[in-house]
Amino acid sequence: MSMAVDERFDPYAVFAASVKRFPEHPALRIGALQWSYSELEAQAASIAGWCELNTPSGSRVAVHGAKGAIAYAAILGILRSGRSYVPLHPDHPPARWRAIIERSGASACIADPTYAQQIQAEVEIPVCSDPSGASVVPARGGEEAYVMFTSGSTGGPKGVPITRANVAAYLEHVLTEYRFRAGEHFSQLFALTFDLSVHDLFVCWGSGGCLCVPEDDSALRIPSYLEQQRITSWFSVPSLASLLRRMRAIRPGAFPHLRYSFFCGEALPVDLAKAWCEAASGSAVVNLYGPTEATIAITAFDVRKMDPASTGTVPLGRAIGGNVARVERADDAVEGELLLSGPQLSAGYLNDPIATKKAFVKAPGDERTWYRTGDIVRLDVEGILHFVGRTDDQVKVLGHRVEPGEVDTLLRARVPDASVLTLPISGSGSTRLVTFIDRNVDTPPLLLDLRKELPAYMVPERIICVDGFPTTAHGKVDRKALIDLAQHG
Amino acid sequence: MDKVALQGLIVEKLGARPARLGLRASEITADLDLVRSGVLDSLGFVDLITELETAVGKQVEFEKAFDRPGATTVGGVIDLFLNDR
Repeated sequence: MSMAVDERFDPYAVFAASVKRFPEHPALRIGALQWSYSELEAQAASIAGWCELNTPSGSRVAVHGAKGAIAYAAILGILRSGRSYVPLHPDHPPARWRAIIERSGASACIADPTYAQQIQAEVEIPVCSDPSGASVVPARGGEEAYVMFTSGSTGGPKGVPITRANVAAYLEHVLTEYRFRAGEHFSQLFALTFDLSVHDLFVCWGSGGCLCVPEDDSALRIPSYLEQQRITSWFSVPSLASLLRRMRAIRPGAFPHLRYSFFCGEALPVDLAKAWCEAASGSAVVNLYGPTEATIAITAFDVRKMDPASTGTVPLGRAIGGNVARVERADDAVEGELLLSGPQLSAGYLNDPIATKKAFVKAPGDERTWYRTGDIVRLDVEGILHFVGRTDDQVKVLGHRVEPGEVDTLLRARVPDASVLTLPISGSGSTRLVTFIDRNVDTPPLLLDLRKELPAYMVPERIICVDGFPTTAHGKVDRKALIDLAQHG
Repeated sequence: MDKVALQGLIVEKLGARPARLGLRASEITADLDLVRSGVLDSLGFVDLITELETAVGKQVEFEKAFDRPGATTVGGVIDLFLNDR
């Protein structure tokens, strides 16, 4: 998409500018390890040099996403070399890594030495864990920043390439709208395979902050991490805040250090948002929304401006920066599908022209490309967008997009003659998947098989065998009856 | 409540979850990490602790409870309720 983007907000450029301004400021902290901006740059430069020597110009390079220092240096180094990164989740099964490497065409992988042997045994591309010795090369620009993979309904991960210009458009808005101070402590809770991590890294490094990575990835230790690291800028899915509330950590005045709190990835319940506002009384609280295809987040809503009488979920807000949102609805409808356009929009799916043509569309008399989000929204009289639901079966599990059809496709291959249906079961502030099969099968081995191919959040909590699917008066599968069966049966 | 009774209560609260992963009752030992094994996710683990609080009649300090190794094992949960922390 050719739209004017301020190159100063290029993701590597914002980091390089902070290196010049704050060379000795802490840029990255993981447990006892702390690197200054100049130390992080030196590591990134070595990795860039390794990429120059060992991978084709402009190619994609995978990053094993275990949250060690080398992963962060690798992301910067790959961008510095003009290449784009493809993150691999450390906990995802090797079959998923191989599918992503094959689909992205990644030419090499950079991994922490702890994991290098393990990943080298699983993939056929070169794996680098020690880039030292490579000659330092000057930073060079590039087109693509990264490719993130999301769940695909036809049985495999779907790649979304995002350009550096897409990221720059986001950073330009966030770094000018919110006045972060140099020395701010940013949380880094999102997996590097989740595009919201791009906000963590580059909003932090673009404002001279310190990226504070929890040493232990257990969500249960977040309250002590928040306190010990004196986090001033928080970013998470609402589910994590919900967990903190159930741990009784969200109390009035509990988070005195917070100056910014961002939520994204799933609906933010109003009561949770209000509790957070009281716990972080000195913090701006912002609800962000955006699909991976529109780069990190594309609408924002200031929670403190919410009507105090509100209930339900916090509004999605308005499009940010130079982006635009449109609601496609029938003449007499108040709700419709949300369409997005602007400088943050991806050009389409990786090597998937059919899916691209379906989701990235042109409107009559309008040259812009619009992305069909599949989200049903309502536009209120003040121009604020409110989330209503989905046009398809896609669900969010802990903020991750899941196409239940991907689970069903894998199971149908194992139980060929069966009917299979995976449904979301919501309750107690979280959503879990349950799969129904109309055959009497041994379910533990099926679940174990799924664990070998899918990320943990996509594996159903259980598989329920039924004699046949209940149907509605219209002959369709009665999903509500199945959900009732899972909840109460 | 003693250690054996508390372990029995934990097994009862877990219900059919371990069996869904192919775990037999004999495999639910003190060393079993309920989160890493996939029996519970973080939310499920917090729910378990909350249910045990009601059953045992003792409230735990969540923020300190998980700052120790093995906190999410069956033995760690027993320790949480039977030892003052």
